[in-house]
Amino acid sequence: MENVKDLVSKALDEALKLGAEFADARIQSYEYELITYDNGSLREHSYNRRAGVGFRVIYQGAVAYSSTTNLSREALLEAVQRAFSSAKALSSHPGEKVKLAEYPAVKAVARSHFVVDPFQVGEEKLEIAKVVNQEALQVKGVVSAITRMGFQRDKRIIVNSEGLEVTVDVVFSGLLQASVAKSEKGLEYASDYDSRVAGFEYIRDTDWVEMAREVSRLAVTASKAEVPKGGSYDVILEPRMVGLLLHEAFGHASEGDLVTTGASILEGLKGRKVASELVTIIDDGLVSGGYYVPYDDEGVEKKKVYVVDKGILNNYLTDRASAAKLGQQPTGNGRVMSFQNPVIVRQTNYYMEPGDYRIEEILEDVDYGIYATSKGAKGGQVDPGMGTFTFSAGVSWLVEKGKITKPLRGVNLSGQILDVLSKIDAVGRDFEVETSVFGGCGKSGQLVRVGTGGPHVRVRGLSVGGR
Amino acid sequence: MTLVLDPEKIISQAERLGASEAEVYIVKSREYSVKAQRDAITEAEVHETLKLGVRVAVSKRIGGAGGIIATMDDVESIIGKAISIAKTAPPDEKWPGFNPRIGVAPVKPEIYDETTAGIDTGFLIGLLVKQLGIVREAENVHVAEAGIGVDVSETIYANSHGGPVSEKATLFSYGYELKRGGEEKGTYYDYIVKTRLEEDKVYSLTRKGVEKVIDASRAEAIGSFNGDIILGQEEAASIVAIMLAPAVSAEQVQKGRSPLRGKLGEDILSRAITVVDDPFLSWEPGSSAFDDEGHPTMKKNIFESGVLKTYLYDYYTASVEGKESTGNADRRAPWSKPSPGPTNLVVEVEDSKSSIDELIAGIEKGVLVERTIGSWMSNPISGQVNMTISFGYLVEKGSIAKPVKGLVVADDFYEALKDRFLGAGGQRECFSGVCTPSIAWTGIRFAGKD
Repeated sequence: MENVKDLVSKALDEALKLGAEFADARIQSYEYELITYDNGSLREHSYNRRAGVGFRVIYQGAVAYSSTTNLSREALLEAVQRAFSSAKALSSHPGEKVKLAEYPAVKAVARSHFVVDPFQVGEEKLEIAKVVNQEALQVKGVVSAITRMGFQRDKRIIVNSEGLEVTVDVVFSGLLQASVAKSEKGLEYASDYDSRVAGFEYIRDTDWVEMAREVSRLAVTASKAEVPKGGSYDVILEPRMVGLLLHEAFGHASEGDLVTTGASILEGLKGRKVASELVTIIDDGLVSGGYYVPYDDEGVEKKKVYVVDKGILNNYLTDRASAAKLGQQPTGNGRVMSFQNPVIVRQTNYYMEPGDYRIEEILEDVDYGIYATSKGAKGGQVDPGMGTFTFSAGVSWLVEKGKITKPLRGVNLSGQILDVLSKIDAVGRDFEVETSVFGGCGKSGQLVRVGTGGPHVRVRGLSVGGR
Repeated sequence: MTLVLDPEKIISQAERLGASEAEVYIVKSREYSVKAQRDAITEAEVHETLKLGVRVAVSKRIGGAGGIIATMDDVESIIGKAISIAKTAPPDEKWPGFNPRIGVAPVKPEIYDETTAGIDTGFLIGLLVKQLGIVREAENVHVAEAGIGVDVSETIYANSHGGPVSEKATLFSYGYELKRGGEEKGTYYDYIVKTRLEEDKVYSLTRKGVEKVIDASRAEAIGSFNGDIILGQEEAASIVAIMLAPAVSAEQVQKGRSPLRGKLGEDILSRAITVVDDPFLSWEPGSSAFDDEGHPTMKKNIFESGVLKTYLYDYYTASVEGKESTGNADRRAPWSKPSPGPTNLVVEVEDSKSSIDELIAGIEKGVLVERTIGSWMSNPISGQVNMTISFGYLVEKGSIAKPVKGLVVADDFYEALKDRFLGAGGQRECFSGVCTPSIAWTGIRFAGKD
């Protein structure tokens, strides 16, 4: 990739010679390995990789992208020329011109820590996945079990025409367990995963069998559980659910590109109260348990950003283009899924700061509510313009007079963005951030790895779907 | 693109390196797209991609590898990786080999359009500029984001038993998010995906958005109530795909993850409903003359008058039951193991009303659903549908009362479409290969702002 970097730099020079005011490139080498054990047998063991260069060229405020997988000098020059031609064609059309916020020509190399390269490990990983899968199937009532083990290595070099050169190299490992149980009420499933920015040592050092058994036991519990009656509930969210809530209910709306296009309901609310004063929300590229984003895909250092500080909207997340429009400093949130994609604003690790409450205190003040937990949760979605968000919970629990009483399944929660964070009246003192090598956040067709989390919190009056 | 891959040579090389069988899946594509933000064209993209997937069997040990290819070295490294994975894998005792019946269906679906294939960035810019112009004429309505694109691709499949078979396809897509400013704020998004450009549909989609965003901006969050639900065609198509595609997959059935296991021949849906898997629909993205393991595709009724007639099979799952593949192999990626999935799904409803108004006329109280979020979080294993209505219309006494938002719905899909099904209305429309009229059922709890 170092040789390619020199050729790419020359291609960027070519863009400037043609008349571009700015050009940058993302050089990527990506590997992914997936092992799936399904009902005791190896269903799939596959490996894929991609390598290539994506160019962005800005000419008279018009932006164009092109990419190539051919890393020869000629192909790189051709790709940058293609981007330049498209930008030139766009520039003749009236409209707002793109400018980038200024950023110094940083030179940096950041590599995540790992001990054992997972791509060099052979049969041991198959054996671990097999044992975990078989143990998950042993729990009485379980009719199906899937165990996935995933590994990713993603090396990116960002180079721009201003002289910036940033390398980020991440090794990422994880395991996912999903179990299906059957009862007289039908089928239901539960799932759980854990991933770390780490090598195979993380897989070796974790007790996956116990996690898988717990998932299977929860699936059995869920298969016998009731669906809640639809309506409004006081809801206690465990840390992973708080992460989902924040990511969907607030995170997307705080993304600077949605703010500048007018697609976010948070436009114009900077400095205003948007949440209970118990709420402080942070986007941070380097947090224990989260994904590793020391620099974004424009090479901007990812700062710890206080998006909401004690209830006040403090900052939007930005890439260089939206930072210029908003008159902010870039926050290091310009990200891409792969070298073929355009830079858009994305969250990194989005979480709530812990507060003072013990979990028992959060529970004891709920007369009739739901304790929403994550094992089986599918994720969430937001319509940032309409202000509506939703997210699903895994196997959850009814809370009556401050006590957890019986299990619930099929819990889906919803609310209005500007409403929900004001309804938080207790924030726990515990804290957890998590990420996943099996998924991430989708926006404009691009999936990127993110982390989410926080402490336990209590929200008064969330809408819950039910029969 | 200068590199040309020969699937037969790749298979031979894999066999020389120790594979008893091999299969090759190649996708070549060229994509052009243009994006607009806040009423102005802002970005253009051009990409050419060559993807290769190689799966091999070493006796009954299977491995797969693939990726985006730039050089012949990449190809060799992928073949080597697939074989090294296979050699460490435990044997799959049910392994029947790769699909031996390679060929194309006698019907050749229309999925490649020369005019669409000839579209370039300049044409896309021009068409998108015209759409921005239509929106600009409307008071207080803006394009927050819009995108338009063309993908020209060729898919090639071969394995040790035969092939190659190949198919060219074009794909046109257009989508937008419109925003209404002023006192009543709201957004509305829509999109179209077809295998050819149909300009009139682009213009009508933009005009529809300009009207709908005004209603969306007036949508109110209302309290909880019980009533009927009418899913507009797009949301009906989405729910049908989410709930039925996994449930009728023979793999999910065999693995115990489908509520339809053991229910062949039983009444599952209302007798008014027939659901067809049709790979031959013109200009729909699910159409193809062969499936993702080179097997000829075929049209079949999955549900006939509500009765479950068949599951969908690829070669592996069919072999497990001693049956023939139904031509439904589907791959997540060129290097993935295929699993059964639908081609295009067509929902036919007997006595469907000719218009949506006629369907609404019979509703005492309910919601006509225009847009949802989170319907993909529905649970095809338990059969529970989940969605949050981000924009819809409250229906009272047979007519539309007002736009509403923020209602959460959870229901049992099979019970709803069998015992509480009210009927369908309006023209059947196709969305990303799922074609359905609007459908309605009763007995819904709408959870709202209490």
